[in-house]
Amino acid sequence: MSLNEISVLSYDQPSKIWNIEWSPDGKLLASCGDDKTIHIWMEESENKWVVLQKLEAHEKTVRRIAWSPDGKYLAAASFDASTSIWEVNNGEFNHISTLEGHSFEVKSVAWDASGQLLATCSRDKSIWIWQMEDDQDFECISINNGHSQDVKCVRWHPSLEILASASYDDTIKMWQDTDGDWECIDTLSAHESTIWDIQFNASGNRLVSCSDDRSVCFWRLDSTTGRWKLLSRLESVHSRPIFSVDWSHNQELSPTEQLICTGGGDDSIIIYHQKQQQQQQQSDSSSSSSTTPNEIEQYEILYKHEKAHKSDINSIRWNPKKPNILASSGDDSTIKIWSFVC
Amino acid sequence: MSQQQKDEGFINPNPVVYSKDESENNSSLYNERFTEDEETPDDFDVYEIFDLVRDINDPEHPLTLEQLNVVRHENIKIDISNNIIRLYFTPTVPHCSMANIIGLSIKEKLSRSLPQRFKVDVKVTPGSHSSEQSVNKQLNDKERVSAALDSSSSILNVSMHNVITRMFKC
Repeated sequence: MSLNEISVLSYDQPSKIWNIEWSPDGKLLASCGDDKTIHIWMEESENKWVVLQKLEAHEKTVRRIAWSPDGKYLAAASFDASTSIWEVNNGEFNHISTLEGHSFEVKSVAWDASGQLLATCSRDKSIWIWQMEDDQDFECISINNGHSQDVKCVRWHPSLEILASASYDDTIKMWQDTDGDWECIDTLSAHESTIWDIQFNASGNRLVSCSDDRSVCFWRLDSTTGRWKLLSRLESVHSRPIFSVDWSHNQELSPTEQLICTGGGDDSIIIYHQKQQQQQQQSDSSSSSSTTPNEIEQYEILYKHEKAHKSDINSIRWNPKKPNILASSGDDSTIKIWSFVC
Repeated sequence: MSQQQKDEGFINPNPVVYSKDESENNSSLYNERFTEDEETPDDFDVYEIFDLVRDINDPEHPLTLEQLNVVRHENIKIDISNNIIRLYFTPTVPHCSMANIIGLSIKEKLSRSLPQRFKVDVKVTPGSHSSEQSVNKQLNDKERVSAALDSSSSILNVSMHNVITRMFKC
């Protein structure tokens, strides 16, 4: 097993690269950071990446970016308390709107599966839900207060209109529109510190979260109650805070073949998978657990790559189309593209 | 001192002042001791780390963190093999509301001065502050720290009140 570095994309100037996101077709990579810009990267020839366009609209750090599901729009959340919206036309990005309203830094932004709803969250503890109108105008349809501290990350369910949020208050909350009002329908508690990133699996019945407490949690949706239950908690997987997690959504792989990756403040990348059933039965045969082995779903570390970057890893993302290709970005002003070979 | 501080009075009006320790080391040479090359391990000790932070001014008094005994040699830990530097600072009074700012100043100074591969943890000395956990969490939240320092050349040059607003007010 190995994780092979296949490309290094370097910024011209020193920058913390806070977030990277692949376009839905897996061909472009957007990155953002404390240089206040968004870089759009394109693979010009095999493993040679160039900056297609550099987008500038913010006065402060751009913390996170998000592609719409059809790849026609890009949204960017900034410490300047605004969110910019970019339209993609024939490979060219144009700034079409700026969403204002949060009183402090916007930390995360996410499009829902329909591409009609956008969520933003901030240090002001609130989550705003915006609706895109036909004329590309954005209207705020809901302001959700529920977290007691800054909200670090928002992610939509891959198919349903359910929003997950992660916070400095150590919890994850699930939000849903019930009779016209967005309400918190579940609060997930298992982490002991800030939750930095969360991701659903492809079918949306599992969730993974990573935290400042150096643990990774796997959650299962109980379809009868609609509530989330902790499946397993892997402790001390990284030796420093874990800033980013992703669950691969590749259509060529079966659900149990999908891999999870994390990157953190210890400069390491870790890859996880779901334990095979047979292994579980062996390991569980000695225990007197009341649950039958095939009900137990466990996750384990498959591979750890230390010193993947020269400094903290802030973001890590699987390519949506190419199996086992992932990208990572860090405080060392670089983005790396990796190939994971099982 | 800002008008606000004058109006509200000092948090610690009469701090104990400690004499500067001149015998151990001189403070002028630390830059030369760090190699420019990121790959070569530096051979340095707590005195050099101490030199970087000893002259930071207290936000309330025209005194340095060394003079107020907020930073001390024995509260600096270096894990050279893992590139981790951990500094514990001791606020002058347990309810000191300036603890966040002092910690942020120390963190910024170390992060800017040391080679990038070093991980810097700045925490309150255990038992020395009434909101120890909360102060430690804020100081080690990389995102909040970055936002507080964003667009300012240095926290050491901007008004403390602005920094408090920028980083901690919610």
